[in-house]
Amino acid sequence: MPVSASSRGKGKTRSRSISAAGRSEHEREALWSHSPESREQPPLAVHQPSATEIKAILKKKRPARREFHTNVSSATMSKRV
Amino acid sequence: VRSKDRNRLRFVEFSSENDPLVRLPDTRQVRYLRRYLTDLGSSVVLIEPRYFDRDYLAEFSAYHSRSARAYSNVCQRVHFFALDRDVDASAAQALLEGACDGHTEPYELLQSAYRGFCIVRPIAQASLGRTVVAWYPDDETRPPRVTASREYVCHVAGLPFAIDRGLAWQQQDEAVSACATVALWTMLQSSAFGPHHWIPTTAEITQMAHRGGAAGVRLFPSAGFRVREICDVISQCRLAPIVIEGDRDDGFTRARFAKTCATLIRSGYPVLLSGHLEHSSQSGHLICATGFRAAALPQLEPGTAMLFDESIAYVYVHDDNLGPNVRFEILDDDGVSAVRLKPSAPTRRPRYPADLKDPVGEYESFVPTELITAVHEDMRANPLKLNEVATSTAEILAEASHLGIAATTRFMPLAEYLGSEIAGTVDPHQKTLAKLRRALTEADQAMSLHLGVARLASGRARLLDVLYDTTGTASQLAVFVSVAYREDISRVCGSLAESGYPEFASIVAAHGRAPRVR
Repeated sequence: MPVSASSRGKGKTRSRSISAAGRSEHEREALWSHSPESREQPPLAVHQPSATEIKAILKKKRPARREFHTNVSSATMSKRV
Repeated sequence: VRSKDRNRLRFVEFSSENDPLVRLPDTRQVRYLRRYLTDLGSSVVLIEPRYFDRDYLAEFSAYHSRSARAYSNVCQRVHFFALDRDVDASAAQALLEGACDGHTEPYELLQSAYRGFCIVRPIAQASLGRTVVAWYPDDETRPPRVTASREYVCHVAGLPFAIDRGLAWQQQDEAVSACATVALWTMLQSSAFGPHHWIPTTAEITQMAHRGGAAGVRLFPSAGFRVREICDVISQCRLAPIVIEGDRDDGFTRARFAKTCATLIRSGYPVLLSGHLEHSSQSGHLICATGFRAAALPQLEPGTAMLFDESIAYVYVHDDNLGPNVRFEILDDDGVSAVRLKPSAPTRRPRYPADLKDPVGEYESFVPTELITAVHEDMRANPLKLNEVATSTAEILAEASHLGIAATTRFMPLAEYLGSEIAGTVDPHQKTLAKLRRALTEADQAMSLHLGVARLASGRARLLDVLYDTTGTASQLAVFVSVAYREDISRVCGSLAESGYPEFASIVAAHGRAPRVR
């Protein structure tokens, strides 16, 4: 066959998603990657906290629940686009 | 014989005088699409002279059929192929003949060169109907572009041609639709909603938006929708609307805008951006974000954490004023102003035909003021809440472990997490994967159909997946279980749990030793 598909664009390097809906390229994102290399666990210096340290962290981090609102104003709901 | 010629499936050279796009009125959308297809390397165009398009037939039935202009109900469908430059239209025609005759090789050549299709409607003021084109080449290998796309398959003379990732776009036909109709229509095409969801036509969307009462206003021509009418259409499609307002008086901060868009798009949910053009604050506009360029992994100081999606620089948008997959840069003047989106084409471009003026150069920036999306009905969680609890958990783990921790979030079906996701992240040897799957499936609490997932990492080392229940109220996001990828992190989580921190109370180990549920 004298002709060949162009390697521009889609080409052979792109692989089809294996996700349920074929819907996202997140598999290539650093933290969502599915490559074998991404399974390797590099050495990390993980500190094991003492009970006193943990108490101090929790005391600092949980003084009050952050306010969270999902209410949408009626002005927004009436906005025309 | 003449009639037979007129109906013939035929190839023509791309951008030649016979190319149907070249013959259309010179609009910004036509210029954008021609440039886009040039970028995809399109070399020849296959014309299907007669095509009955579902969306156009609905528009025709709702409006055009009663026009004195005697519009036709038949469209053209044109397909774009990027074959080598030495394959002209007649060689492509020979390939098609061979493929139609059942030969595999010419068919596979055409399929591998296939870049998409466009319906050309017989209405001069808005000729570009349903258009599905491939994403243009992702030049940057890292970080990648992330899109809420799906597969489209169309058939020409019984031959299937597929676009593996795309999302349909069309030009606004003012008779039956507004920008909101087209953006909604694009969003509802997303495959995140699965094969069991009905995708309405643009005419049906307009009718659905006013089902509650058009208050004496004529439906067609359409004058646009209110936000509550958009939510109503989403609900009628058996999906759940989420509306997120800006956190500034004039719109969004970069952090809220970028993190929310990234979480939703990564989850397969396109996001409607409601707002206005920068210098026209009185007239609203609605566009659909279909992708974003992922942010680079940050190097963080020990003991600190961040949700690094707030650093994304670009979103990709279907804008009925421009075209599909338009790249917009996220600008906020270092936090001084609200987020605005400026069209920003990638720099590396081939030479365009001389008659093609830049379609986006003078286009105004867009200022988003609300985000609207449609999620599965059973999913009651809000992306703002997911990001808030993920940040909080990452901060605590960072402080306890003295690591710099980057967090990222998404929603996903439980089956996908237990299936392809952990198969891609956990070493399948030594039965770790099998034990993890059983531990998660047999845990005390059965998990919901959709999960909120927060992934915590230090550099490239995965530390922890926190799996959240998405069926509670929007402001409550309970943890089902957390999956620890390292033994040292399991131990830190265990210490935190013993001190009364519930987010770390149920840890499943996904590392070498046998997984156990505490």
